[in-house]
Amino acid sequence: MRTIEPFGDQAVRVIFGNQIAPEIQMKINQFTEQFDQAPFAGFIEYVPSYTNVVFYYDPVKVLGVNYHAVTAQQHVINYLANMAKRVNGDINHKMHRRTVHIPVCYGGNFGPDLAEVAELHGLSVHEVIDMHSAPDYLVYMLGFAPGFPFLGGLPEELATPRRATPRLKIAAGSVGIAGKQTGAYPLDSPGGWQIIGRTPLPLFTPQSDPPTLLAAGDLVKFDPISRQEYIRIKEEHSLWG
Amino acid sequence: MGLILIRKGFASAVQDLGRFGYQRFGIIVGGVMDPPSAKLANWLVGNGESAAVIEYSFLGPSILFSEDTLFAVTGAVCHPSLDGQEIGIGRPCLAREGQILTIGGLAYGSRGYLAVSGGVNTPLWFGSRSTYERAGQGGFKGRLLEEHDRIPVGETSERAKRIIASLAEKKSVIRWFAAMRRTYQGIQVIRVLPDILWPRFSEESRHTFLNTDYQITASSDRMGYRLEGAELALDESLELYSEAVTSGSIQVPRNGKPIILMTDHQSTGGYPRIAQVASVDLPLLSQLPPRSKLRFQLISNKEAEQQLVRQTRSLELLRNMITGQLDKLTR
Repeated sequence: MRTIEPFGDQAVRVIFGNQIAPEIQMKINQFTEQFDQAPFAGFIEYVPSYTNVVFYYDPVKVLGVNYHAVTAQQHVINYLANMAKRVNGDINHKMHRRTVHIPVCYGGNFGPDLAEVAELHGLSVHEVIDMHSAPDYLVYMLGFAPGFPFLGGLPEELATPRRATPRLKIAAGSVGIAGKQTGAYPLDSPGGWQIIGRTPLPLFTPQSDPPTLLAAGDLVKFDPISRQEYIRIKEEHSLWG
Repeated sequence: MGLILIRKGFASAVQDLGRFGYQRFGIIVGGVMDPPSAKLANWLVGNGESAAVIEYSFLGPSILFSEDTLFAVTGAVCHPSLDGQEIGIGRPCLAREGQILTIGGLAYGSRGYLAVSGGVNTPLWFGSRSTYERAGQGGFKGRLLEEHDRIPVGETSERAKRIIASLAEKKSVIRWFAAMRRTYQGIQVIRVLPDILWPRFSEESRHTFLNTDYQITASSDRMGYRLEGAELALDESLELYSEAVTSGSIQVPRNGKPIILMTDHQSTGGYPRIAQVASVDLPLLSQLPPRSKLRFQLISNKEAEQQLVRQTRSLELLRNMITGQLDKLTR
C-alpha cells in the first residue's frame, strides 16, 4: 500500500501503511535514502513519521524550473510516484540498523513512578526493570522536542496510562511510559508520562551534527545502571560539554 | 559595534527566515512570523533578505545605537521615534552613535521588524540565527531579548556605507515609504485548502467551518492560534498516530475548538486536521492580534499556488523599486 496525498500547498505526504510496524519504517527509510540521491529542485526537507513521510517544497521554485508543470503539487506528486516505483523493486534489501545503548538508572528520585507502575501490573520493581530493558526498541520518528524519540516495542504488560495530573516539570533524561509508548525526554518539559528512570546521556546535543543522539531507524537498548554509574557517565559528558 | 536594549518590548527576539532541514530531528523551523515584512526591512537597509532582524510583538523595544547605523522598521504600524523625532516606518533611516530608537506600542498588526545594515550578527546554529527558545539555541543566547543586552551587528556593506554618507550629508528626510498592502481590521478572509481528513468531519462541521466567524483568542502565540467559535466534530472518532505537520495546519482537538499551527509549531502532531491555511495568507494571519475575527474560504491548490506566485512577484517589484530608490541616494 502506498499513496501520495496533498498536504496544503507546500507539502505532500507519501503514505506507506496504516499501522505501526518495523517493515513500514524500513520502507520509509529506503524511500528517503533513495530520495537523498536525487532530490528535486525546490525541495526543502522531509519528515518521516510512523506510517508516512512528508516532503516540503517551495511551490514558486518548483514552478520556476518546470515551466510546463500544471501545478507544483502535481509535479512533486509525479516525481515521488516515479521514484516510489523504482524503490519497489528493491524491497527485500536488508536494512542495517544501528543499535544505540542508553544507560538508565531506574527508580528512586530518577523514577518516581516506578513503584506505582509495578504495583499497577502486579509486578515487582525488578521485573519491570528487566522487562523494560530487555527489548530492542525501534525509533520510528523524532518529534515533539529536539531529539525526542517515538519508540516502538514496549512489552504489552508494561503499557500504562498517563498520569491523571501531568507534572509541570519533568527533568531532561527522564525515561517514561505513556500508554503503549516509551521514550526519554531530551529537555526539561511538562508532561504526563509515568517516569520510571533517568539516563545521564544527552539526547539533544546542540553542538554536534545532527544535534540528536538518535535518528529514525535506530534501535535502542536501555541498559540498567547504578546511581554511581549514572553520576560517572553524567560527569564524563559534562566534561566534554 | 552593536545595539543596546534600553527597553525590551514584548517577546523581542533575533529571527531570520528559519532553520530548514532539521525537522526530522524534532528541531522546529521557527523564524520570523511575517517573512515579507522582514524581507522588506532588510531590503531597505541594503541587506540580503535572509539577514537576521529583531522581531517584536505588540510592544516594540527601545534601542541605543553604539555607532552610526542604517536601520528600518517594518511590519505592524507604529510610531517609532529617534531621540524623540518621529521617523515613520518602511524607509531607511540613519541613527547616529548614541541615539535612541523608541518603537513603542503597535497600532495595527501584531509583529514588527527592525533591520540594521549588516544584519544582526549572533552566531549561526544549524544555518540560522532564529531564536529557538524551547531548546535554548539560536538567536541571542537562545532566548528572548532582555534589557542591557548588547546585540552584535554585522559588517556594513560598501553600498550601505554610501547610503549612510548620502543621508548624513544631505541631512534630508526620505519622503517615500514601502509597505505591504494589508488591512488588519474587520473580518479577515483566510483562504484554506481542505485537509485529507476534511471528508471525515461531519457535514454540519464542514458547513459551520466555512460559514461562521472564528475569533483568535488571547491564548495564542508564535506556536499556534487557538480559535473561539462553533465547535467542530468528526463523524466518527479517529485514533491518529503522530505525523509531520506544517504552519497553517488547522487541528481540531477533542474539545472541537480549532487551533492553527503557526511558525514555532512542533514538527509533529497527532490531532485530526480539517484544513490547511493557504501559504499566501500566513503572513497576514501572523499579524492579526487576539480578538480578530476570521472567515475561512476554501480554494483549490491551483489557485493557492497562483496567489503565492503573484505575492512573490509583487514582492520582487517592491524590492526592485527599493533598490532603485537606494541607488538614487548614492548617485
